[in-house]
Amino acid sequence: MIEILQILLFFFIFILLLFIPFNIFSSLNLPSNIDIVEKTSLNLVINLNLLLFLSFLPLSIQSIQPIVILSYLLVLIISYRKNFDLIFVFFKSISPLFIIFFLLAINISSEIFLGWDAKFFYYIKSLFFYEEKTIFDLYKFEHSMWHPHYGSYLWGFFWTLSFVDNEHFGRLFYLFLFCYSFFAVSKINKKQLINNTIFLILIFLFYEYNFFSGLQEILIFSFLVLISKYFFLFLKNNKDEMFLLYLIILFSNLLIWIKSEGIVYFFILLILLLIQNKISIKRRLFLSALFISFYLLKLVIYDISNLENGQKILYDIEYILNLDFNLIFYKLSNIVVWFFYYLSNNIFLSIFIFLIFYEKLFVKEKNRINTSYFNILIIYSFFVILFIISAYIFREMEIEYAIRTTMDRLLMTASGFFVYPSIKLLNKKLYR
Amino acid sequence: MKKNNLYLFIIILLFLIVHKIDFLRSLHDLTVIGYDDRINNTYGFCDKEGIGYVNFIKKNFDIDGKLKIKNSLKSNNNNSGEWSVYNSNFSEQNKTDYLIIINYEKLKKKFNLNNYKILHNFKDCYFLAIND
Repeated sequence: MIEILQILLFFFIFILLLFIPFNIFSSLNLPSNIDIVEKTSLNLVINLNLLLFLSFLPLSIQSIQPIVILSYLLVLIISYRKNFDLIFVFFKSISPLFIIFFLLAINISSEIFLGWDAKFFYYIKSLFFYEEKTIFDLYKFEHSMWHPHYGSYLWGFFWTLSFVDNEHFGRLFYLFLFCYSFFAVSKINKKQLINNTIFLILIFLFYEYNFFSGLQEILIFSFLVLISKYFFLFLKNNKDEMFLLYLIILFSNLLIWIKSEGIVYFFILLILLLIQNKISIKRRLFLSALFISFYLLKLVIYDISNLENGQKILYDIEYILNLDFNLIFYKLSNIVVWFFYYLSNNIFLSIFIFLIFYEKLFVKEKNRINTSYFNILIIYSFFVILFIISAYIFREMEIEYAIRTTMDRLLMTASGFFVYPSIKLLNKKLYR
Repeated sequence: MKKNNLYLFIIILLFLIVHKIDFLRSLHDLTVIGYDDRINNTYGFCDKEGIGYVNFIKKNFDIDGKLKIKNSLKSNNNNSGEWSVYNSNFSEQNKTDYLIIINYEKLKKKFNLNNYKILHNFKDCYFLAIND
């Protein structure tokens, strides 16, 4: 019973991240044409970046957590002292999020087993943070070089917060981000009932315990789900552009700190921003400098904390230069076959491809999806496929083993960007 | 779709989600079966990875050194149970002070119990101190 109470308490702690630092009911600090869900997204991404910053400090979670919690509660009370009635209304509007989070959290808490990578990498790293260590101690773990630390830091942060001393409570934050991302993108219709239906359909189609067994892909997936939505709104022209651009930039920054392949999505998103005509040349230069600075910051932080990049071992320049045509062809044929197999198993990619063909073949041009957004999706797909092909061709590992152990997760992660366009297209077809 | 139909559809969806995640079994496990027992069911107590036995030892002994585990599962990096005994205070270079053996009968050829001090024994699982 105490675990159920802990789940309920954690939901309210996670929700706290949506309320602070900006008052979501006030239009004083934020543009008035931005809806409440987008304001909560801004608060969430600011808090996630703040936690990222805290993870760089040579201070243990235990030493900073009381200060963080107390200051958050203080800001909450000061900022919302006149809006307590609105908070109750807001809670009513997010009740589907609460119900789904509760149902799935019960499932995660009862299953508890950890995935392969989780046992081998992420759990151990989160244990470091749980045992009062910092990023500067991670080098002592021989496998720490394989993946960045941020996902494990979040795991360790919320594990430490739990009064029931079980590691899976740290992982519930991954579940919260996942549920929140689906909840945020399902707000596409004026009727709340339809939005809630879409949210439940998304959860029903996608949820599997394995994604929450400590693996980090679900974090990148959830961020891509949100980024895709904000790209669409950014291109639509009727919202505050800078606000949406901030959201895209801040969410993109998180990708590079979660998994090695996050860097690929990070730079794909930069390219997608740079090809937007509506962004001035000056601003594009600024964006390039900003993204490169984020990346350089990662290199500097990992250099200071003595964390090497393990991907150098998997991708040896000598091996790449010595690849012959037969081997490339053999690898490529394997990649293509397995790619289509895993594509057919991925619900969002399958729906998206079906809808795109439907749109191209049967829908009149004037009724089609926003052309700029469509181009964004095609360019994103092109780069993701290019990434998948080159990742497997250049990797010094038996190809079938490499594919069978990772490709399904790679496609799952990448499919996050297609969730919003898929439901947008479906909504357009069903409720036109 | 009419409003009432949508409500019906939402209820059906909720039932489908509850069914998909086997919610009632999960709820039963969480309320009736304690965390340690759930760990035992998942990873085994004195079998499989043996994480249940590891947790039992950690709870009942004050372990002040580096702990290692050996189980009889065919090694594939994923079932060694090493993650459960990892302690961030000891690096890979530190010598092992304690050893947990799960299913000793199958590992007899690899370990001679005479070389260790037996601190605890349950069936064919052992918690050993390594003699200096």
